[in-house]
Amino acid sequence: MSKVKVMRTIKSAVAKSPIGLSCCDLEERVDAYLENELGWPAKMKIRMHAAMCRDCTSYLRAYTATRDLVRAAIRTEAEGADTLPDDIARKILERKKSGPEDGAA
Amino acid sequence: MHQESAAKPLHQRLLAGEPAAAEELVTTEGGRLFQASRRILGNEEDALDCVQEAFAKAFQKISTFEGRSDISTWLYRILINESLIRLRQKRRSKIIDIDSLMPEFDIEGCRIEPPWQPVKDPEQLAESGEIRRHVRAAIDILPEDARNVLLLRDIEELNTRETAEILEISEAAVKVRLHRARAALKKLLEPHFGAGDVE
Ligand SMILES: [Zn+2]
Repeated sequence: MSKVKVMRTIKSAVAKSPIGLSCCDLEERVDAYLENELGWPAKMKIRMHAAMCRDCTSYLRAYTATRDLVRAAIRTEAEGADTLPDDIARKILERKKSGPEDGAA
Repeated sequence: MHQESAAKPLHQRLLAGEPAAAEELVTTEGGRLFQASRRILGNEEDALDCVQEAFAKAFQKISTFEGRSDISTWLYRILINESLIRLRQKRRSKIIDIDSLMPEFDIEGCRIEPPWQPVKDPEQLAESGEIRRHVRAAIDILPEDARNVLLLRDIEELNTRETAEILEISEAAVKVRLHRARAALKKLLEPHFGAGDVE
């Protein structure tokens, strides 16, 4: 039996035990885990599973890294756009003056 | 500005039709709203249109503002709604089949996952314009329901309840859609963490 197969057999045996968790179970709880919404026992189960499961460890790392990349990329992209141009601010106020008064419509 | 009028809440001064109040709102909130709309839409022209639309709507319905939340929160929500409407109207060349991007498991329920060997961290990667274009392109091909939740939760950093209220869906739906969006983006973007794609 290869090393990978042995690990998988152990993993699925532990997953079926009362304290265990399968990769699928972990998948269902991944966001709650990352957002720190889980109670202590559930958190420990995930950590125990990840300690044994190279695939889930890789997955968790890639999942959080991508989430962080998406946030950082979009925030960087919009960095320059932090002041409303004067002509737009003027347009907004002019439109307000000429537009219908509140409650009139 | 008169002392007594400055002491009144901004929304009451807006309701009373004080021109200085409108100007104050545009000055204090304009930049922040522009940036938020820019994050959602990915370009300045559309973002500026949405900011103008949002202010016009806010001035029109200021009497419906109940003062329970902050006026800037109220205005921000109007802006987000405008931006999402605009985003929906934009033509898209392609929408991905999101199911094809979900994680894979074997028959035992064991995950099948390649090893994770990134060359750069997310912050470093985000400095590359090329990578930022890949990120925007990946968001652009997500189905609308997953994309909207991702934008509000992970980009705007609103919580589950706020996101559910704005999108008028349940909190459970927010969670499911967010997970699908994140898993899909992971699959689409993880190749860019490798050595081959770094500038
Ligand atoms: Zn696993």
